[in-house]
Amino acid sequence: MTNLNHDVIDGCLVLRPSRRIDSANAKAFEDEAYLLVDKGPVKIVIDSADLDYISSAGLRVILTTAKKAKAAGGGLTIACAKVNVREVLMVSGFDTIFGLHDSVEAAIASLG
Amino acid sequence: MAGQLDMVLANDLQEVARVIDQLELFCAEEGIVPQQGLRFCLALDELITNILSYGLAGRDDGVITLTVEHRNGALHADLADNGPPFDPFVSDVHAPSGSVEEREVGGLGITLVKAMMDRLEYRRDGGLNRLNMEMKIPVA
Repeated sequence: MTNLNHDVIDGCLVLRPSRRIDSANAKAFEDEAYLLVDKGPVKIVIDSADLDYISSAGLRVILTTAKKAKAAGGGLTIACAKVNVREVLMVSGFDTIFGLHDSVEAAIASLG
Repeated sequence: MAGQLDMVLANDLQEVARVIDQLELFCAEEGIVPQQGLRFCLALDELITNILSYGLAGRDDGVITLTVEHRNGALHADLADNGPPFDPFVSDVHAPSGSVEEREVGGLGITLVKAMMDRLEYRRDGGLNRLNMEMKIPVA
Protein backbone atom coordinates (compact mmCIF):
# COMPACT_ATOMS: atom_id res chain seq x y z
CA MET A 1 0.00 0.00 0.00
CA THR A 2 1.44 3.30 -0.97
CA ASN A 3 0.27 6.87 -0.49
CA LEU A 4 2.71 8.26 -3.00
CA ASN A 5 0.87 9.12 -6.21
CA HIS A 6 2.62 7.64 -9.21
CA ASP A 7 2.21 6.54 -12.80
CA VAL A 8 4.17 4.66 -15.38
CA ILE A 9 4.37 6.61 -18.65
CA ASP A 10 6.43 5.46 -21.64
CA GLY A 11 8.44 3.13 -19.42
CA CYS A 12 9.22 5.85 -16.88
CA LEU A 13 8.13 5.87 -13.26
CA VAL A 14 6.54 9.27 -12.56
CA LEU A 15 6.41 10.05 -8.83
CA ARG A 16 4.00 12.79 -7.76
CA PRO A 17 4.69 13.86 -4.18
CA SER A 18 2.11 16.34 -2.92
CA ARG A 19 2.25 19.30 -0.55
CA ARG A 20 5.47 18.84 1.39
CA ILE A 21 8.53 16.67 1.78
CA ASP A 22 9.87 17.69 5.18
CA SER A 23 11.86 16.03 7.97
CA ALA A 24 8.68 14.50 9.36
CA ASN A 25 7.65 12.62 6.19
CA ALA A 26 10.86 12.23 4.13
CA LYS A 27 11.45 8.69 5.43
CA ALA A 28 7.95 7.62 4.35
CA PHE A 29 8.55 9.09 0.88
CA GLU A 30 11.85 7.21 0.66
CA ASP A 31 10.31 3.89 1.72
CA GLU A 32 7.51 4.22 -0.84
CA ALA A 33 9.83 5.38 -3.63
CA TYR A 34 12.21 2.46 -2.97
CA LEU A 35 9.37 -0.07 -3.17
CA LEU A 36 8.27 1.37 -6.52
CA VAL A 37 11.81 1.51 -7.93
CA ASP A 38 12.45 -2.08 -6.83
CA LYS A 39 9.54 -3.43 -8.80
CA GLY A 40 9.22 -0.96 -11.64
CA PRO A 41 11.02 1.13 -14.20
CA VAL A 42 14.32 2.64 -13.07
CA LYS A 43 13.91 5.78 -15.15
CA ILE A 44 12.28 8.20 -12.74
CA VAL A 45 10.61 11.58 -13.09
CA ILE A 46 9.73 13.55 -9.96
CA ASP A 47 6.66 15.52 -11.04
CA SER A 48 6.63 18.43 -8.56
CA ALA A 49 3.46 20.13 -9.83
CA ASP A 50 1.66 19.49 -6.53
CA LEU A 51 4.69 19.97 -4.29
CA ASP A 52 4.83 23.25 -2.34
CA TYR A 53 7.79 22.57 -0.12
CA ILE A 54 10.95 20.49 0.10
CA SER A 55 13.60 20.53 2.84
CA SER A 56 17.10 19.07 2.86
CA ALA A 57 15.57 15.84 4.17
CA GLY A 58 13.58 15.73 0.92
CA LEU A 59 16.69 16.48 -1.16
CA ARG A 60 18.41 13.64 0.61
CA VAL A 61 15.75 11.11 -0.40
CA ILE A 62 15.74 12.36 -4.00
CA LEU A 63 19.50 11.81 -4.06
CA THR A 64 19.33 8.33 -2.52
CA THR A 65 16.51 7.37 -4.90
CA ALA A 66 18.55 8.69 -7.84
CA LYS A 67 21.60 6.70 -6.73
CA LYS A 68 19.43 3.59 -6.56
CA ALA A 69 17.98 4.23 -10.03
CA LYS A 70 21.41 4.96 -11.51
CA ALA A 71 22.91 1.82 -9.99
CA ALA A 72 20.13 -0.17 -11.71
CA GLY A 73 20.95 1.42 -15.07
CA GLY A 74 18.30 4.15 -14.98
CA GLY A 75 18.23 7.79 -13.97
CA LEU A 76 16.19 10.53 -12.35
CA THR A 77 15.08 14.00 -13.34
CA ILE A 78 12.65 16.63 -12.07
CA ALA A 79 9.65 18.30 -13.72
CA CYS A 80 7.28 21.19 -12.99
CA ALA A 81 9.01 22.60 -9.91
CA LYS A 82 7.07 25.51 -8.37
CA VAL A 83 8.84 28.61 -7.15
CA ASN A 84 9.76 27.51 -3.58
CA VAL A 85 10.86 24.05 -4.65
CA ARG A 86 12.79 25.53 -7.58
CA GLU A 87 14.68 27.89 -5.26
CA VAL A 88 15.70 25.00 -2.97
CA LEU A 89 16.80 22.88 -5.95
CA MET A 90 18.89 25.75 -7.29
CA VAL A 91 20.53 26.66 -3.96
CA SER A 92 21.50 23.01 -3.52
CA GLY A 93 22.75 22.59 -7.09
CA PHE A 94 20.19 19.84 -7.75
CA ASP A 95 19.01 21.71 -10.86
CA THR A 96 22.41 21.03 -12.43
CA ILE A 97 22.70 17.42 -11.28
CA PHE A 98 19.22 16.27 -12.24
CA GLY A 99 17.87 18.87 -14.66
CA LEU A 100 14.61 20.79 -14.29
CA HIS A 101 11.94 20.42 -16.95
CA ASP A 102 8.77 22.41 -17.60
CA SER A 103 6.70 19.34 -18.41
CA VAL A 104 6.63 15.64 -17.57
CA GLU A 105 6.87 14.91 -21.32
CA ALA A 106 10.11 16.89 -21.62
CA ALA A 107 11.46 15.17 -18.50
CA ILE A 108 10.68 11.70 -19.91
CA ALA A 109 12.31 12.64 -23.24
CA SER A 110 15.48 13.73 -21.40
CA LEU A 111 15.86 10.28 -19.82
CA GLY A 112 16.14 8.76 -23.31
CA MET B 1 -0.16 43.40 11.74
CA ALA B 2 2.35 42.52 14.46
CA GLY B 3 1.59 39.05 15.73
CA GLN B 4 3.51 36.53 17.77
CA LEU B 5 3.53 32.74 17.84
CA ASP B 6 4.94 30.74 20.78
CA MET B 7 5.51 26.99 20.69
CA VAL B 8 7.09 24.38 22.97
CA LEU B 9 8.34 21.38 21.00
CA ALA B 10 8.81 17.79 22.10
CA ASN B 11 11.94 15.83 21.17
CA ASP B 12 10.31 14.24 18.10
CA LEU B 13 10.82 14.82 14.36
CA GLN B 14 7.03 14.81 13.84
CA GLU B 15 7.03 18.18 15.60
CA VAL B 16 8.55 19.69 12.44
CA ALA B 17 5.26 19.10 10.60
CA ARG B 18 3.36 20.80 13.43
CA VAL B 19 5.70 23.82 13.29
CA ILE B 20 5.16 24.21 9.53
CA ASP B 21 1.37 23.83 9.92
CA GLN B 22 1.28 26.47 12.67
CA LEU B 23 3.53 28.83 10.74
CA GLU B 24 1.38 28.54 7.62
CA LEU B 25 -1.67 29.56 9.70
CA PHE B 26 0.29 32.37 11.37
CA CYS B 27 1.49 33.74 8.02
CA ALA B 28 -2.05 33.60 6.61
CA GLU B 29 -3.33 35.59 9.62
CA GLU B 30 -0.51 38.09 9.19
CA GLY B 31 -1.15 38.53 5.48
CA ILE B 32 2.24 37.10 4.51
CA VAL B 33 2.17 35.36 1.11
CA PRO B 34 2.64 31.55 1.34
CA GLN B 35 5.74 31.67 -0.84
CA GLN B 36 7.58 33.84 1.74
CA GLY B 37 6.11 31.95 4.68
CA LEU B 38 7.42 28.66 3.30
CA ARG B 39 10.95 30.07 2.94
CA PHE B 40 10.87 30.93 6.64
CA CYS B 41 9.43 27.49 7.46
CA LEU B 42 12.28 25.87 5.58
CA ALA B 43 14.96 27.57 7.68
CA LEU B 44 13.19 26.61 10.90
CA ASP B 45 12.63 23.03 9.67
CA GLU B 46 16.37 22.66 8.99
CA LEU B 47 17.49 24.13 12.33
CA ILE B 48 14.94 22.18 14.41
CA THR B 49 15.80 18.96 12.55
CA ASN B 50 19.49 19.53 13.36
CA ILE B 51 18.74 20.07 17.04
CA LEU B 52 16.52 16.97 17.23
CA SER B 53 18.93 14.78 15.26
CA TYR B 54 22.16 15.78 17.05
CA GLY B 55 21.98 17.99 20.15
CA LEU B 56 18.94 16.33 21.70
CA ALA B 57 19.30 12.84 20.18
CA GLY B 58 18.42 10.16 22.71
CA ARG B 59 17.58 12.59 25.51
CA ASP B 60 14.26 12.43 27.29
CA ASP B 61 14.73 15.84 28.93
CA GLY B 62 15.22 17.71 25.64
CA VAL B 63 13.12 20.83 25.18
CA ILE B 64 12.91 23.32 22.32
CA THR B 65 11.05 26.61 22.50
CA LEU B 66 10.20 28.70 19.47
CA THR B 67 8.97 32.28 19.31
CA VAL B 68 8.09 33.85 15.96
CA GLU B 69 7.25 37.52 15.54
CA HIS B 70 6.11 39.55 12.58
CA ARG B 71 7.26 43.16 12.89
CA ASN B 72 8.83 45.92 10.82
CA GLY B 73 8.34 44.08 7.55
CA ALA B 74 10.21 40.99 8.70
CA LEU B 75 9.70 37.63 10.33
CA HIS B 76 11.85 37.06 13.43
CA ALA B 77 12.43 33.76 15.20
CA ASP B 78 14.07 32.83 18.47
CA LEU B 79 14.80 29.13 18.79
CA ALA B 80 16.16 27.81 22.11
CA ASP B 81 17.19 24.29 23.14
CA ASN B 82 18.83 22.71 26.19
CA GLY B 83 21.28 20.54 24.24
CA PRO B 84 25.07 20.78 24.57
CA PRO B 85 26.64 24.02 23.29
CA PHE B 86 26.55 24.02 19.49
CA ASP B 87 26.74 26.87 17.01
CA PRO B 88 25.43 25.56 13.67
CA PHE B 89 26.77 28.58 11.78
CA VAL B 90 30.49 28.30 12.58
CA SER B 91 31.17 25.17 10.57
CA ASP B 92 32.75 25.88 7.21
CA VAL B 93 29.61 25.30 5.20
CA HIS B 94 29.65 25.22 1.45
CA ALA B 95 27.12 23.64 -0.86
CA PRO B 96 28.17 20.08 -1.64
CA SER B 97 28.89 19.41 -5.31
CA GLY B 98 29.55 16.55 -7.69
CA SER B 99 27.63 14.09 -9.83
CA VAL B 100 24.89 11.73 -8.65
CA GLU B 101 27.41 8.99 -7.86
CA GLU B 102 29.89 11.28 -6.08
CA ARG B 103 27.47 13.43 -4.21
CA GLU B 104 27.29 12.89 -0.46
CA VAL B 105 23.84 12.69 1.12
CA GLY B 106 23.23 15.48 3.60
CA GLY B 107 25.14 18.65 4.41
CA LEU B 108 22.67 20.94 2.69
CA GLY B 109 20.51 22.11 5.60
CA ILE B 110 22.65 25.01 6.81
CA THR B 111 23.34 26.09 3.22
CA LEU B 112 19.57 26.44 2.76
CA VAL B 113 19.13 28.30 6.08
CA LYS B 114 21.79 30.83 5.05
CA ALA B 115 20.16 31.27 1.64
CA MET B 116 16.71 31.99 3.13
CA MET B 117 17.56 34.21 6.11
CA ASP B 118 18.83 37.78 6.11
CA ARG B 119 20.32 37.67 9.61
CA LEU B 120 21.44 34.75 11.80
CA GLU B 121 22.89 34.82 15.29
CA TYR B 122 23.89 32.17 17.79
CA ARG B 123 24.55 32.63 21.48
CA ARG B 124 24.90 30.38 24.51
CA ASP B 125 22.77 31.76 27.27
CA GLY B 126 22.00 30.24 30.70
CA GLY B 127 22.53 26.63 29.62
CA LEU B 128 20.58 27.10 26.37
CA ASN B 129 21.53 27.37 22.72
CA ARG B 130 19.71 30.39 21.30
CA LEU B 131 19.34 30.95 17.58
CA ASN B 132 18.02 34.32 16.54
CA MET B 133 17.10 35.00 12.95
CA GLU B 134 15.36 37.43 10.67
CA MET B 135 13.89 37.21 7.19
CA LYS B 136 12.80 40.40 5.47
CA ILE B 137 9.53 40.16 3.58
CA PRO B 138 9.71 41.87 0.21
CA VAL B 139 6.88 44.34 -0.34
CA ALA B 140 4.65 42.84 -3.00
